[in-house]
Amino acid sequence: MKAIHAVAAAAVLSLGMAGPARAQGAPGTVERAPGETGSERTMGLEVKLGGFKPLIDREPGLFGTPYADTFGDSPMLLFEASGERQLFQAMGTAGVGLSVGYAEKFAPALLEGGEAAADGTGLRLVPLALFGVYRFDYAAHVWGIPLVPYVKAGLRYTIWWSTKGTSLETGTGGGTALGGRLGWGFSGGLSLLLDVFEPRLARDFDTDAGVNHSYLFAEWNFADVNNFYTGGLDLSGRYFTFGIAFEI
Amino acid sequence: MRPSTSLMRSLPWLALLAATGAGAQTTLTLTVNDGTSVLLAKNDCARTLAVNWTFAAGGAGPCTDHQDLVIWATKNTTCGNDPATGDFQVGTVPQSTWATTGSGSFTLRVVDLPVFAGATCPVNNTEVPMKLCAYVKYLPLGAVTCLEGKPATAPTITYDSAPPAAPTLDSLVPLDGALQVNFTAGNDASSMMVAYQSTIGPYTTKSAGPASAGSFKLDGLTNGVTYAVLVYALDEAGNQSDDSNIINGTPVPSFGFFSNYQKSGGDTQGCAAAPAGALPLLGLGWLSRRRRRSPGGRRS
Repeated sequence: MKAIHAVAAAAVLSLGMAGPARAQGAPGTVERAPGETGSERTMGLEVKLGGFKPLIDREPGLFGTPYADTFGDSPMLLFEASGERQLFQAMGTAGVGLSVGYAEKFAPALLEGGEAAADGTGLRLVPLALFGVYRFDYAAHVWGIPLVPYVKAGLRYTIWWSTKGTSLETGTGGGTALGGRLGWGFSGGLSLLLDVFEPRLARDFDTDAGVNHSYLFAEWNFADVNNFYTGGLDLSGRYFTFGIAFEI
Repeated sequence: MRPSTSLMRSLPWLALLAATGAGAQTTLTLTVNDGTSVLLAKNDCARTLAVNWTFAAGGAGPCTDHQDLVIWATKNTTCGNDPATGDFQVGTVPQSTWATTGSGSFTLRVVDLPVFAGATCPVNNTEVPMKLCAYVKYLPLGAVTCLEGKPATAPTITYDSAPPAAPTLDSLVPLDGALQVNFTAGNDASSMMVAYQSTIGPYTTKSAGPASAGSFKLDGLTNGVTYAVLVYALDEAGNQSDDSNIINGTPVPSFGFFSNYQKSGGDTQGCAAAPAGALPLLGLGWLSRRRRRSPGGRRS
């Protein structure tokens, strides 16, 4: 029931954010911060990288540390890309977006005694997210302060699968090692507006390619992806990502 | 407009070029079994090969020598203009025939190839490349000088009854229900075979892939059972090498991440059988099931 409530809440949140945008007219004509120049902004695109270590070993009822035993203490390399639709631009920018990522980790499988086997094993994740985002870019566009703090929150669904050798692994109970886990998460980050370093180049980028603003950003992510605390494989994480973003 | 001086100087040379027929050279093509090469194995003695020729020299006239188109097989590395001693003459096409038909064919028996001159097919442990040659001289229409007709590339016929060198079995790496077979193939090896035998099972042979791979995963084995393994090689003609050395290996069980997770008490059981692309739908299905299910159920 908690999961259903969370989905409903996210849908209401999205609709609530979309409402003002519809009231302001067609896409691309949303209200803008006073004094902001350049072409209309309607979308945001991001690509980012980070080290993601799933909190698998914290699952209640585990009497071992299977992730650490298999892969050690090092994180997976996570790549994510996202797109967002901007719905409101005045005291900052609000929108909704989707993201998709990929992470993988490989190590030798283990023998009965815990020694490394000649077989290899791997864990692969495809995290998906539906999120709402708010960026306080008023100060950047109006006062010329090139820092944009932002927050995101939304639902997450992570597809996972585990391999041994070149095939999908079969668990000790006979099940195939693949599935999906649902959860939620939020992120907070700070973007550096690159336009201030080369204003003329930024204007040309807008005129020629329609890219209004470019950012470098760092963000911290909180994700609880464990089917809303009902047990089972815990693909939650607390991790930083770094990337580049464009508003178009 | 007056012709330029350089053009005027070139005209006699152009006229001479046309008169010699160099501008109307005709290509003689030759194929064996519709290709440019044939590989014969030791026991192909009963086979016949189809030799086709095309020579579109319509209207060409005869020369004083090499008027007929002669086709022959030779062990020599070059063809020359006539069959040499020991070569086998496949056929002769009279000038009147090639000038009118432009193409034709012959049948070549494998036992007639020069490699069997003075011997009987099959011949053991030999690999002999041969060439299929053809030669004719012709006078192009309107020309005053004869030209040579011969294939730009002579087709090759290789008789190979020599086995490849025996491979070396370097090591066996124990895997879960399998052994990784590491080998070094010898010269002329094209593909590999593996043979293995256990104390509880029959002697088995299976393909081990290309010789260039260097290793092969021998799967479908039983953990804890010792297998005696050897490899041997085949060349492109199918000749089999001697056996390699024998090494014993025993597959051992191992546990991937998911098995380790379940051995540690992990609650997720995985999927019965579902493609990864269906997983988001499975997630939604799981959500709906949760509404009807008691809290003690297993998780996927």
